[in-house]
Amino acid sequence: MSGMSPYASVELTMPADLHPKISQFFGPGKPVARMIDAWWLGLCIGVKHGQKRQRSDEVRKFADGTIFASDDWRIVHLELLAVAEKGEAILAQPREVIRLASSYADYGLEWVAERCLGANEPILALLSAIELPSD
Amino acid sequence: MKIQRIRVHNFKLLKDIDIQLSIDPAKPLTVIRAENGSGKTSLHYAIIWGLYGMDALKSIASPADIRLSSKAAPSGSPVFIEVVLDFQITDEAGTERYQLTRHVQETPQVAGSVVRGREGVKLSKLTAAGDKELDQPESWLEQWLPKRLVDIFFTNGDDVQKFITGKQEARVRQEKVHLAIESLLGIRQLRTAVVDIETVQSGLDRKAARDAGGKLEKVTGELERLELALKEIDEEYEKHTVRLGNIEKNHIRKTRDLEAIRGIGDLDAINQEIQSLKGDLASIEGYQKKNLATMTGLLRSEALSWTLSGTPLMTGLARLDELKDLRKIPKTSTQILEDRLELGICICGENLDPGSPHRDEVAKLLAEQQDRDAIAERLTDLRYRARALRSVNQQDFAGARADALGEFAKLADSVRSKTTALQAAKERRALIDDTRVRELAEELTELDRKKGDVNFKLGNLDARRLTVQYDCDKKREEKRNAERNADISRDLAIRRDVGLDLLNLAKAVQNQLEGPYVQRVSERLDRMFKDIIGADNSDTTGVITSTSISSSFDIVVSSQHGNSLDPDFEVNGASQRALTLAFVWSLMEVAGTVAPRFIDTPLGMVSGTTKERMVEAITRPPAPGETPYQVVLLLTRSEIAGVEDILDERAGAFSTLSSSQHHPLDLVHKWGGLEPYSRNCGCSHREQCNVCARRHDNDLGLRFREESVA
Repeated sequence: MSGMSPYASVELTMPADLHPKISQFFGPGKPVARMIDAWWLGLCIGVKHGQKRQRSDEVRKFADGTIFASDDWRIVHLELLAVAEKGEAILAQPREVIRLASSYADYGLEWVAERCLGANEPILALLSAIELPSD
Repeated sequence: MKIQRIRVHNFKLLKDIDIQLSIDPAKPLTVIRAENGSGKTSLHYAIIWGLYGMDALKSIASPADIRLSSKAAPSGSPVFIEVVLDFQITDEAGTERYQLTRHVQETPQVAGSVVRGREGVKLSKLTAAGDKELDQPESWLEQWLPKRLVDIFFTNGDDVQKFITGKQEARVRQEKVHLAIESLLGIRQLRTAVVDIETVQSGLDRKAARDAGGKLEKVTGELERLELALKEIDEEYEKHTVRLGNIEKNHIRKTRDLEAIRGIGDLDAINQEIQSLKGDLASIEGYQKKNLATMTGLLRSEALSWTLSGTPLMTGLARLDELKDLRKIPKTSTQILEDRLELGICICGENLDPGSPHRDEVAKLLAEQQDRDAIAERLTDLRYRARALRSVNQQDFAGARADALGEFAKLADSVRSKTTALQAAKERRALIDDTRVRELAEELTELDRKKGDVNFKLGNLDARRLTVQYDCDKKREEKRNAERNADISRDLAIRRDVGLDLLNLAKAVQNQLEGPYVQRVSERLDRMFKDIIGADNSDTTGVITSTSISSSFDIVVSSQHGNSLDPDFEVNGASQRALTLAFVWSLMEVAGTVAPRFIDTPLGMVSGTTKERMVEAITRPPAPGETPYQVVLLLTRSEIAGVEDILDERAGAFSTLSSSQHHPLDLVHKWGGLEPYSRNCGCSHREQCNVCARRHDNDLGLRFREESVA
């Protein structure tokens, strides 16, 4: 891919009610250093469960699309997911790609917050709780 | 000597007690059954008072508290107290019967004290022709049941340990054992005889010397002084030897204490262990951090994304492949159109030069295609990148997760085991009392110093003894020469020679008694004790490997590797009783003393098969050639439980003591008046009657018999 990422200017958000819980564990100085990793984990879990959460009006930005530059494989995954679900035309609308991903991530983040972050060792709890396709 | 009958009148609560004891050698046991508070101890004291009077009781109870009459007796009314004991003595000449009567009158005062009259004591020999009163009952009794051995003949379950318990000072305990051994084996009398003969011998020597003239008298005097010095050295030597024994015993005990503390572990080694465990834990903590980082990495990994979102991702990729198959991507037509415009000739051969009509159409087509290709280009790019990622990211997330979780569990186990070990090491360290270790070490050093002092003194005494012995031998030779040259009367010489022979004989017997006889007591004690405790006493696995009487007259309990056990802390209550009973039995057997053995509540703290073996051992009829004996056991119902069959077989007489105070709570029948008192009935341990029946006797299966109630 050449030139500026079409996602660079897109804001990444999560529901405002989940943000405080998630940020206790994810973020600078926390067990997992970046909020994007929580968001991505939520996205994967939402997709795995085939569940989305109705996007809330009250959201909180935690990053923008430039964050994907550090893990550009994520853009590939985002777009594959979007193409699979909405068709190739969606690639012309990066905000829609992100909106689709966020609706899965919101579900996954809620699942993470409820199921794992209260445990003594959240990383262990998260890793253990993830259901793999063969589980 | 055996006691045949005991009658007690008005002693404490014993109003009128009449008990026949078994004197049958085949059934040496008499069972007196009595519950607590029924008068066992009063009977015990009554017998001691009957035999020895108030002095003997004063050694047991506080003199101020001694009151022989019942505290329920009204003040101002004199109470006549009497104990009558019938004895039987059998020797080569046959069997003779005696009766000892002791009486006194007490008048209770208002304040609870008593005014006691003068004791009267009477000893009679009972014959078919009538009773014959004998003089000096105390001397007669001293011959058969010496007062100093009252501990041996009459004891109770709690006092029974007095010969072994470390609660008594070693010297007191040794004296008790020593006294018992000396008295019963006759060593004491023999020692007195030796001293007496030596005195007579000295007198004869002095007389002979006087008769023989100045030189012999002088030599004899010098020899006497040397012999006295030799004796003093020997006494001092013995004193220091005993002291050395005590120091060594103390040393062993303190060493054991120190080893017990050190047995917890060496402080330096424990500290080292703690440091090592802390290091291990720190290192594990590092591994745990790495493990968590691995887990975190897995949570944010592309592999996880492929694993969880694999289905839609592969669907997207399939769509891109489909677009490629449909040749919708990659879009190459714009390039072709551009090339053709640049060449000025279409692929169909038409001219595309500027201004040509065909060129305008191709240029328009090119503009439309360029718009659609922006998406197609991205799709193409996406497809290439997706396929590239897919081909290189085949990490097995499931396997990596299993490895990480397994590692976590393994590390958590290590932390747990190391933390437990660390905690245990810290607790062990806390148990080591540094101050006590230092104190014990200092005490041991001090004991070593004292041991050195005593050994030094013993060495000096050895040297002095050699010198004095040499002088003595020389002086004896000198005396013999002087005697040869002197004129001593034949009669005096014979008397002196006989005295010398007697002295040598008495000393030889004394040595025999102090050596082999004490050894026999020791061996018998060991055998009987092992029979009673019945445990594994092998010298490799047993806790108690042997028991013996030491040269310092201590009863020693030995364990593995020659260690001795502390009777207070390392020998249980049942074994303490077994040990003391075995000592008394062995001593009396070796001494050949026919005397009663009264034991009040002997089976407390003893149960099960040990109880059976103990009763079996202390009631076993003597084998032919063994000393006959008589044993009287004062037992509660719970002590009797489990040994009824042995009592059936071994007991030749039974009696039961009951107190009227126990009605109605425990006793079934009322037979007492206003004043409480105890009485006996003829019930055995298998029976109950209208005097002794208690609430649970039917549950115990005791059969009922009638007892006349006066």
